[in-house]
Parts: sequence; structure tokens; C-alpha cells
Amino acid sequence: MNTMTQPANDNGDINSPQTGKESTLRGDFVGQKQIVKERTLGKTYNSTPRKPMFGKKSSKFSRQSPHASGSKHASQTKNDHPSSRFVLSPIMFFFALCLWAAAGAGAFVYLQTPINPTLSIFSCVGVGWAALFLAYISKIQNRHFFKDLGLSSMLASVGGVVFIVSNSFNMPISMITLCGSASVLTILLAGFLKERYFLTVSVMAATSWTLLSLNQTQISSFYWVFPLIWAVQMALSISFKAKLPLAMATLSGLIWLGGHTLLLIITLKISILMAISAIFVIGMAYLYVGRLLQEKRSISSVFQANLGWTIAAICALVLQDYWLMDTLHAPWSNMSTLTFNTYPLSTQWIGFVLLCTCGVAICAATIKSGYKHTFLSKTAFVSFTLLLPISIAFHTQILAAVEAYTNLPKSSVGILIGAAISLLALNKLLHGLRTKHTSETLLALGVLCLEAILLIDNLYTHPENAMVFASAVLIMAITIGVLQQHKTTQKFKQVQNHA
Amino acid sequence: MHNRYITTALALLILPFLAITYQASRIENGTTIRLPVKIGSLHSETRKYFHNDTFKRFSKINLETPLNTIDTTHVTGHNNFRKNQKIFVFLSPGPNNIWYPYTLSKQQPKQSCHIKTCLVLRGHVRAQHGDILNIRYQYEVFAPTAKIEQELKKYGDEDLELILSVGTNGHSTVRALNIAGEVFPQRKLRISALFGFTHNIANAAPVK
Repeated sequence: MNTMTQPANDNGDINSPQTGKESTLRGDFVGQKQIVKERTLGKTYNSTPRKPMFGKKSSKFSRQSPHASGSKHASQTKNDHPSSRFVLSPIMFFFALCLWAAAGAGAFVYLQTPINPTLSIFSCVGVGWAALFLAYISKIQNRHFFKDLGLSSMLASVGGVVFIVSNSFNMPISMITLCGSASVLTILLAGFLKERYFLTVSVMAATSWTLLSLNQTQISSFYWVFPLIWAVQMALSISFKAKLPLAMATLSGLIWLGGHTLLLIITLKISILMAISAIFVIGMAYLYVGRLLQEKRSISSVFQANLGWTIAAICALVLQDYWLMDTLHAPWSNMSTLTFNTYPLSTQWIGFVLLCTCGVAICAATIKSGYKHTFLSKTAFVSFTLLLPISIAFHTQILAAVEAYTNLPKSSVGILIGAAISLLALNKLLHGLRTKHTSETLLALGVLCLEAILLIDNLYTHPENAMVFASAVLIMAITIGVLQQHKTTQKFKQVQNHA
Repeated sequence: MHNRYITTALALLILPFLAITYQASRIENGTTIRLPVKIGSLHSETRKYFHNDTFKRFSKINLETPLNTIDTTHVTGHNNFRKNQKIFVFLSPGPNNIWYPYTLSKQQPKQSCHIKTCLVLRGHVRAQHGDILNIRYQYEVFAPTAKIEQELKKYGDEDLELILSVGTNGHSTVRALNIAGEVFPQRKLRISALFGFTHNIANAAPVK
């Protein structure tokens, strides 16, 4: 009896497999095309096996469990075994479902008058085991609703155990610790059991953890745990092609970054300028990671690259405003007057900037397709990533050198930064126009407009800066090979269209 | 794949008992300090089910000791704290085996105190009213056993004493409650109980 249901896609939609055809699915087009392609090539399910040709058994179209291990021939033999057929039968599913219901009912009745907390823990663990068994059988039989039901009740049983242990043995757990632990536990389960469900729960717990930690007035001892979990969540979301967890993880990462940066500034661990420079290098590193993902055709790669570029551009514009400043204005007027070395985390800041710059360099060296960068242009990008934070660390020394060795006004450093930003935005605009990415075009236009607003006043009061700006743009354009990049050769068009 | 599910099931069983035995080791290995205590009202969580029967689920009491309210003018160290900020209270032993707070700090001490010379308690600032700090540690909310509950109804605060176990990292756990001279220990899973089977094996071994 055929108990195999039609396979569902990652969004839970059931599609009949059609060899050689691509179905139109909602969601990320590239990712979904890949899913359908994989399904049609190797993982289709037929209800009746084909007759063997020339007396040999063909394993190509045999009924397969989605999680059969080993060679195809071995798995075919394995699935023909009576025990495998029993596991795939509806009797086993109903047994698992009844066992789960019985365990739940028993635990509910026992917990009304608990005699011993240890036995209460055992009753909850029993429910968890029955739930895991239901989830396992449902997964094998492609019953996605019952699989999620089993996993949910397993998590509920873990919650029950935590509640009993916390109350009976006097181990108070704060809400922040609970959310953080839930996030860690579920991400481990997501990676171990390869379940998207746990990934979604982990991201929700991490978001709650981030929002609750904004209430804290100091950085917690385990502040380093969140970036680690976040990185694993992002990697698993991309691996599972899960858009919702990816979006939520990106949002929670931004909230964590913003909240903790503010906390570091308020507690005078770093200055505002150091914080903005650090976020700038994070943005550049994120941009290059997004480009690497684009090369691998991962989901949401364009959005991630644009997000990194936007963060880096905004931070660069803010730093440029600081350099161009003639009279004090907000937020610089409220800045503390401590020198760079007096901040407690100045050494860690330097290490962090160098680490991110190394990351940018490695990513730039690894990216092969999509962007026609020469070695010189890659070096220029990496140098810009490093030089902007350095200009903040050695601000007074650079100003003194400009005054001593040139006839240019103090704001000329800001003009050079503006020239670099303008060129990068122009590069982005041309790339967006050629690849027909409206988001890139609009972002680049926005940055160019902001740049114009910043520069207009300064060019009006210091006309000599116009020459500095124009020369800088020209020299940088030649260095990074803007014209070479956007030359429309046939080969280049092919590479760009696949990016 | 089924191996992974089995591993997850085993972890689900083992982890709670690991947490409980860790708690037990904290209680048994920490430094003991005794404090006078005031007990708040007993809060019982109940549920009504079939036939209006009321089932008591968890009871909790609030414990308050002199260490929860510290006058910063009587101690050295930091004296200006924000709400929810971490605080480290240093205690030193005085006469009659009573530990007294002598300094406050916002940072964790780099070196731990030597046993019997000083002790550190880790907590959070609940509020600061002028020079008076209201501090919360880890023992304030306590779930008593049924026996402790019965005894608490008979005696007032003057007959009570809280026995705490303080670890080297400043974490405090309730070890026992002394009610009118009788010590009622905190509920815990004895570590030796987990290894009870070794004693059984030893008993079953033939005598040479």
C-alpha cells in the first residue's frame, strides 16, 4: 500500500514533481529554482517501480525514504525490508500519535498532585520522548504538520522540565537567561536534527533576548555569545533557504549592534567616533560577505550586500561630516574630550578593526565572478576600509600634518573622503543600472544626494576644495578602474548576468 | 537520522539532572554564612479543576535579610549605582561568626577571596534611595518544602535564621532554614544518590 504523500517544498506547498519543468513558486526566485531543480534531478517519488531492464534491477526509480543512508542499491534493499515497510506504514504513525496523546494525558493528570519533583521531571521527559518519536515517524512519512506538532510538544516538555527544576530546587532563572538559553538550545537542535522549525524558534528567542537586554544598563558577561549564535543562525538560514528566520536574524543582529554600541558609548568604553568607525568596517565586511553569497547564488544575497553597503555608506558620510566641520554642531558638540588612548577598549577596538579589514581582504581575494576588480582596485577598497578608522584614531596627528605640509584647509581630508564615497556610489549606480537592480540604483542615488548636501556648503566657503575633490575623484577612478569595470564586453555581460 | 533523535532524547533526560546536581554541588561546596531573615507572606499557586477541587502547585515565600539593604555611608568603595546594575558586596567575618559587608564594587573582583578572610556576594541593584541601596541576590524567592511550610506557620521572624551557601564566583544559594533551632535543609538531589549503584556493587562483591 502506498503511504508516501507528495513531497512538500520548503514553504509547505505540495508540488507534483515534473521532470524537466520548472514550476512558478513564490519567494526568492533563484533559491526556489534550485530547490525544484534538485527535486526533479534526484529525489522524485514514484508510487510504482519501473520494470528492470535486461534482468537487472534499476534503482533509479525505486521508492526511497528521504533519509535513507548509504548507496542507492543498499537503501533500496533496506526499504524493501519488512521493518522499514512497517515504519512507513500508517499503523506506526497512529501508534506514535496515540503514545504521544497518552503521555501528554498522563503527565497532565500526574502534575495535578505532584508527590516528588523528580517524578514530575520524569513525566515531562516522557512526554518529550513520545513527542520526539511522533516527530521522527512523521518526518519519515512526510507528515509535516504532525512533525511540527511533535517538535512543538517536545519544546513544551523541555519548558515544563525547566519550570519544575527552577521552582522545586530553587534555581531562579531570569527572563533574559531563559531567552538566551532557549536560543542556544534550539539552534543546536536545528543544526543537529536539520530542522527549520528549531531555527525559527531560535531566531524568535534571540530577538526577544536582544530586546530584553536593551533594558540592561551594562554589557553582560556573555555579550560574545550573541554574535556567535547570530552567525550560526544566518549560516543555517542560508543553508535551509529559510527566508523568515534570515530576515528576523538580520533584524535582531542590527538591534543588538545598535543597542550595545550605544551602551559602550554611554559607559565611556569607546568614543562616538570609534563606534561609528567600527560600524563602518562591519558594514564593509558585511558587504563583501553579501557579494560572496551572491557568487554562490544564496537566497537574499542581494539584500544582504545592499544592507552592508548602506551601513558602510551612512557611517562614512557621518565621519566625513566630522572632518568637514567648521563650527561645532550635534552630535559632535556633546562628544567627550578624552583622547583615544584613554578609552578602556581602545586596544580591543584596534584589534577589531584589523580583524574586519582582514575579513574584507580575504573576501575580496576570494570573489571571482560578478565584479571585474583588478588587484589594484581590491587593494584600494581594503585600504579605504582601513584608512577611515585610522583617520579617526590619529585625527590630531593628521590635522597637524595637513597644516604643516600643505596649504590646504583642515576640511580637505573630509573632501578626500567625500571623493571616495562619491566614486563608490557612482560605481554602485552604474552597476545597478547595468544589472537592472532598482534597489542598488536608488541607494546609490540617495548617497550621492547626501554627499552633495554635505559638500555644497564647504565648496562654497572654500572654492579651492573643488579642485581637490575633482582631482581626487579622477585619480581614484583611474586607480580602481571604474571604466574598465563597466566596459561592456561579451564575457563581462555573461558574468554580470549570473551575479 | 534516528540516532540523532535518540541522542536528543537522552540529552533531554540527562540535562535537568545535570542542572540539579550542579545546584547540589554549589550547596555542598560553598562557604556557609548565617543571616537573620524576615519572611514575607506565603504565596501559593493553586488551580481549580473538576468538581471545584483545589490543587496546590507551588508555594513561594520572599526572604529578606539585612544584606538586601545596605547604607553606603557605612561601607567603602562605589556608592553610586543605576537600577539593575551589577554589584559585588564584599563581606568579612566578625565576632560571633557573623559576616559584615565592608566594601561595594561595580566590577567583578579579579582575584577571588581566600576562604575565611573575605567573601563576595554577587547581586543586582533594585533601587537606590539616597545613601540606601536595595539589592537583590539569588535567594530571595524561595520554594519551601511541605515540612518547612508547616513549621513556618508556627513561628515568627525572631525564631528564623537563613543559612546560605556562597560560591567563589559570588553566587548564593539557600542551604537550609533554621526554624527555632531545628535545621530544615533545602530540597536537593544528593550527588551520592547518583552513584548509589557503586555501593550496591561493593556490597554484592564476595568477601575474600
